[in-house]
Amino acid sequence: MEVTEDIIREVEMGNRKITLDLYHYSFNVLMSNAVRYKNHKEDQMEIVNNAFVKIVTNISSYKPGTAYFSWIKTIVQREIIDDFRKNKRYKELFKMSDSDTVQDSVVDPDVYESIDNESALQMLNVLPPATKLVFNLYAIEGYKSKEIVEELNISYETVKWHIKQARKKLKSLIVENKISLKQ
Amino acid sequence: MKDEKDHIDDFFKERSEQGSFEAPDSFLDDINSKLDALDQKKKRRGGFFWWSLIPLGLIVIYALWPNDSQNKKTQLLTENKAEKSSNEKEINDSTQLKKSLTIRFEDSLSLNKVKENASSSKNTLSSGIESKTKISPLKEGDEVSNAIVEQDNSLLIKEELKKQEQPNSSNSNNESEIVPPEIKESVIADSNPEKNIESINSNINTTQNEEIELSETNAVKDNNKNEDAVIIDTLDTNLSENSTIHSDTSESASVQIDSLSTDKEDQDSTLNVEEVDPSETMLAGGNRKKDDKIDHEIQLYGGMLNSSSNLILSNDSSTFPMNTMESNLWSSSFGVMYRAKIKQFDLGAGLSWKQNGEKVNYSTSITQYADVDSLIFVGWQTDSIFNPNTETWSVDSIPFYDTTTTTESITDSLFYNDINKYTWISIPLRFGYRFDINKFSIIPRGGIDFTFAMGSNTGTYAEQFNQGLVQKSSSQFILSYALQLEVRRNFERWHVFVNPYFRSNVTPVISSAIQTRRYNSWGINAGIGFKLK
Repeated sequence: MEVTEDIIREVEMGNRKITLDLYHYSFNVLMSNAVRYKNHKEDQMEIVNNAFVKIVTNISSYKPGTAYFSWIKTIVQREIIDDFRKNKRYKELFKMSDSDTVQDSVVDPDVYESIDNESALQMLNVLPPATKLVFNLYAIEGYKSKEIVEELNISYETVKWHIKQARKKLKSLIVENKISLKQ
Repeated sequence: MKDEKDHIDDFFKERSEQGSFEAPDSFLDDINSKLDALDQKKKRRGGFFWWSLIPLGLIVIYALWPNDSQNKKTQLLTENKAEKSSNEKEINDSTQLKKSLTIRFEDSLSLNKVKENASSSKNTLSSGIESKTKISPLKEGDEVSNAIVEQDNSLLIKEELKKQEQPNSSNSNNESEIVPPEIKESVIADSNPEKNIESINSNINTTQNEEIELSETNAVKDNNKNEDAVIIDTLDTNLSENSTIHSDTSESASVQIDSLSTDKEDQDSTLNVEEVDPSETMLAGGNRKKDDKIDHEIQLYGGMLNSSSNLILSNDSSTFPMNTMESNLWSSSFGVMYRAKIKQFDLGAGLSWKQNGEKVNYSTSITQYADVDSLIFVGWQTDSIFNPNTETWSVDSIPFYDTTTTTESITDSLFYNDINKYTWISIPLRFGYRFDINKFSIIPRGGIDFTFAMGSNTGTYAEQFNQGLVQKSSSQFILSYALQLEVRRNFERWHVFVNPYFRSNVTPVISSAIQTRRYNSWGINAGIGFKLK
């Protein structure tokens, strides 16, 4: 499916069939983003469908021929960040903890090969919400630290701290995973 | 160490890109309901616009509708004329009827003279007299035909007038051959429309009856030819009496009719004066005598307005300030006004519903500018939402050693394309002066509006530094001033008007550290007004 001007017009006119076709076409991108940030199905659905409603209402902003998936990826990420901001304890979530109990581990590069997608996703979901968000934005979405600072309205040090914490936690999980695999 | 960091980042990035998902039914149900809600929202917006046009349409239709009161006047005048002519005709008919009554009575008596020798004449005559006295019901043996009773009087009148024109006795005899005298008597009795005349006739006939009976008794007893003469004399005497009485009756009837006619004419002339004289009926049209009393009016109106935001931004140096991404909004209003006219001064107060706001499209593309050299990275970023942000920081690795400048334009990730609409209930107070030009009035007015927010009244704005979109609630109370020029067309008890106006908020609708937002509105209302008693 290619998002052409005809499709955009039909979506604007409220053609439900075309709109649902577009939904199926966009679903993989939207959902793959949602699952990295939200653990529960209902929350994922909320993110995916709210993002799609924004896509439909602003479909006129999309220029046919440009990268559609990049455009919708930006929208769903924005939806995730906005959802995070709705949390009344937003600022508290990003507070850096003094008690850094997680030990930094060294992981053999070969170990990564033994971890499948499902396990990797489970590891990400173990991270605290704020840490998970920052790490996702930085490591997976490719945001710069400065962009994360602006987007989340937190300090540069906070961003760096959460990235560092995420890496340490994930490495420890990978090491644990290796042990469990051996056993 | 750095390689290890990069490796773990890349590992999770790769894994996250490998997933594949299909939309479950629960997701589809949810998105369908969300899309339904979206469609309804769109329809409601469109629907409201069209609904707001309905009262305007009705007002225009009402204003353009043919003037009923004028039609009624014309109709009344026509009816009055018709009534007058019919009254005149009735009077003429009645007069003619009286004439015919007299003639017929005379004729019938003449016939009696002719038939006086016949033995049946007594019964016939008496029955005829009886029917004349009682009118109805008829007694057994009377041969009065209903058909004749139902005959048109005018035909009889014509017939009688013809007979009047012709020579006397021969025609009477001819008539007696055609129409039996008893029928004529019945016709006389039945066709008599005036009860007074009936009662008088009955008196006459009672007397006549007694005399006739006496004459007939004499005629039976004596077969003398002189008896005929006696009878004829008696009858002639009766005839003369009847004629006299009839003429009196006719006169009295005529007098009555004339008096009725006079009353009627008086009424008609009064009505005509009231309806035709425009100086008495015209309202506020300039021809009417201006008095010092207070005229009370009530007005119903609806209309459209175009509102633009009057925005003051503090500490804003962004390339794309909010107001450059906002546009005017068309919305609707309706309301009711009470107006009082004291001399030519116009005072008004009312209640109105209106909306205002703006269209926003915070979706200008982000422009990134980066200047990279061997030591530092300097970047500027400006987007549609945020103020310009300049920051200098060190970079870990230096990919190249020459100074390079790059400019990149990317699609704005954070955007908002919608309408901020506020709904208000206001109490307008107006003061003006009326210039009356024939049936039109021009009323310049000024005034203030006390306006109250309805519901939460929130709008979405891109006002805060690095905070993205924020929702702002409007003030609960707004004070505005308004200038307007009403042009109205006056009718008898009502008027239609158009009312272009300008309204501006004195107190702000949205007030924050970044923005102070007021609205200016141009609009036009149209409506209908009624004069209260």
